[in-house]
Amino acid sequence: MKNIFPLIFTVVNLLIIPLLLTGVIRKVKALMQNRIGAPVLQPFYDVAKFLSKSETISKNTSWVFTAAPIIGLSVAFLAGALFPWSGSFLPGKFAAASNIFLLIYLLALGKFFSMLAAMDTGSAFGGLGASREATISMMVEPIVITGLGALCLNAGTPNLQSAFAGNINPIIAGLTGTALIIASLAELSRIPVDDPTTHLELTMVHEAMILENSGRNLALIEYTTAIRSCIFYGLTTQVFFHMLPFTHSMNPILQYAAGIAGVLLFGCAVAFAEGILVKLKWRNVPNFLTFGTVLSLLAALIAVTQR
Amino acid sequence: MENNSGIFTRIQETPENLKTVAKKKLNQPGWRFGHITARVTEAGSFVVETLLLNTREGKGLVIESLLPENNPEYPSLTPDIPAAHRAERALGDFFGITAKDHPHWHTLILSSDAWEPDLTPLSPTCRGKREPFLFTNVTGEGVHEIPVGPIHAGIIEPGHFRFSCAGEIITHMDIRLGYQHRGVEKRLTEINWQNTRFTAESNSSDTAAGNALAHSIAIEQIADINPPERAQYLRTISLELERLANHIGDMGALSGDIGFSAGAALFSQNRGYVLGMAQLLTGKRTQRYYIKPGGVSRDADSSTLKKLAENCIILKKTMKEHIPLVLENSAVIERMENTGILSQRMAKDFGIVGPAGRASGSGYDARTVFPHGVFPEYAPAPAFYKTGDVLSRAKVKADEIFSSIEIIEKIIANIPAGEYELKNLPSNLRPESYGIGITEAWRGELIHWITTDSKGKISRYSIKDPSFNNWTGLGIAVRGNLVADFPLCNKSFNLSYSGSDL
Repeated sequence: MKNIFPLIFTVVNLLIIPLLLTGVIRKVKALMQNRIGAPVLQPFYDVAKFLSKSETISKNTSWVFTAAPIIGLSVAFLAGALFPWSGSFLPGKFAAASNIFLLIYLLALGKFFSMLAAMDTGSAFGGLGASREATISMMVEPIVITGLGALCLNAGTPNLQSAFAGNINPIIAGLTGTALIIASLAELSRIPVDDPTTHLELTMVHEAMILENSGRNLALIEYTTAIRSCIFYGLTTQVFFHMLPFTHSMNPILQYAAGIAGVLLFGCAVAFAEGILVKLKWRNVPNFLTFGTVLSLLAALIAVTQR
Repeated sequence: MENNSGIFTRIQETPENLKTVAKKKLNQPGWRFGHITARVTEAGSFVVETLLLNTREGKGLVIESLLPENNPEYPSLTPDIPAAHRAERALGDFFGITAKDHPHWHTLILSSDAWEPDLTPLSPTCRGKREPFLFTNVTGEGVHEIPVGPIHAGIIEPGHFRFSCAGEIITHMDIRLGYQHRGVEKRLTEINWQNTRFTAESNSSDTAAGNALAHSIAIEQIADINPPERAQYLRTISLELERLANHIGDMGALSGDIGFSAGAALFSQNRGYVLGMAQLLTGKRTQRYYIKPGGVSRDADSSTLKKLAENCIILKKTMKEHIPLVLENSAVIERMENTGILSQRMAKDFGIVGPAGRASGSGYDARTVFPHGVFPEYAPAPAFYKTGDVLSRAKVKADEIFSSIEIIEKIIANIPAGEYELKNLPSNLRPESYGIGITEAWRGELIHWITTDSKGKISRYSIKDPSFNNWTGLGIAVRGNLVADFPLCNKSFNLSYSGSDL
């Protein structure tokens, strides 16, 4: 029994929460603009609709274009299953594999394929989007790796599950968490780095890459994006969550619920920020991300000196 | 050719002298290039007509040049007067006239393969083939091209942009229009003059009031009629409401393009408010069918005017709250400042009009010189900025929002009683005449130029939309900017595709 519950939770979590998160973000954004907005469940309907539609695939594409969304979704799903959503709640084998490097580079692998697929279409926008996405990834990666590395150095293990099981230095957690917020805004193509709702092809980053996708392909991509958001927000929430000393004594189910609530709240915060923030000039994106790198490095410095 | 408005004089010059005479005139202070177009005389020969405007005294000069019958070409004005470069290419498209030594001599509007290469719609006989559309070929290490449109991701008009980029920097942009060419100018010569107003005002439907007013002025000059005083006041309210609605919409669209959704939401709400005021006055949110030759199509009673005045007060208050949210927001300023700079020199050379021109130090506002509605009497001081970036264009629009509200308030306070339209308009226009209606539409100076033949029928209807010249301004302003900033630059000009394609 003890092994089945977490597995069920994880699967249910990965099936429901990501799209619910997308719906919540859109709803809050709409409310911020004095609009009623689409129902919270709209992303579910959208994915169902895309799944039932036929696809238009450019003649110039190779197998990469059709394979990339499948690879992306599989990888994101795996990363989601390895992610310790509640501190000490992963089933045995997954817990052992819950390694930060594996987690981060699984996500990077999915992104690599989505960039390949974008360039595969040969459209100018695909190339433009992929090049921008690669530029952003290049700057986001050090933030995430350094920040989480500091966390694991402090805990003495590269395993996220074990790192979250013990006590984390609140200063390191705070710095890493803030760095992760900045990284997640860039990684998930949100304002101030990218505008997920724009129709202007020339300003797009992530959207430009998926302009040529339709039908089932698009459904998989939307779902993958939602899972990735969920993982990044979850990671950030967990880092902040474990700053608080009482979390380790909490009931696992309560911990789990708090983790999920944290993800959704994080989504609301992002939507709120998007309502009032302005997208950065593309030239100033590196400055914004450097701020995250500095925070991560500080966390790493503290972790090293404390050892 | 007659015109009794007292504004225009007409001289005749040989095609060879045209360039020298025009250039000499433009070197005198206050003169600017208005338009160049052509018409076919009843004998079947071509006449090239150049309109020059004196923006100090509110006068115009039409230079008429008869082209030799066997050889429809003349020395191009463009090398000396760059502002003429698009209009001259349009002559080639529509008449098959050749402007010799034009530096970019290829098709402008009829650029699509859908049109036969020897089609010259405004000329009775075929005059040879058009030069096909040419994109500028930029070469160099790492230079790549991004073709955008004519079908875009949003619901906007069709137009093709070809960017040549070095990485994320735009080195050059070609604009290919003409996808909305529908033969407006030709159609306007085929129908009764009483019906022309419906076609004329829909040449760019977001400028319905501006177009209708320019059309009415041109027709009134030809028919020698003067609309009643009250109609002039009502027309001006309509024109200013259109400016308000579109400028407010632009402030929202500018916010939307930089991802500032709060601004976008607030201003689209306010735009709706102004459209509501327009409906109150004209019966339609788009103000169609309101302004007509001889007056306006319905009166406004005192309660309507009172309501409008009250709305103006509320609108002024909301604008005072909302505009600083955008223009005093440091993140917005960071995006707009020094983006899409159109230098004063370029704006002057290429005859950029309207808010874009005033943001680049032109100081030209047709409301201050050419009579239309109650202008120039009620004209505001033109907005004036020199930097020519997106921020100054936004500031011009913000300033004009406030000045338009003031104008409407002043007009409502002073509107005289009386008729709102002339009854019994003449059924025929005066033969052998021309009328030129110049208005400051919300995008800038808009010219409707009508010529009648010996039977009093409209033989030539030429429209110079403010967008026509300003497209060049956009092409120049985006150079050296980030590709990702193009939509912002584009929106700060917010040009009409249909008005330019006609």
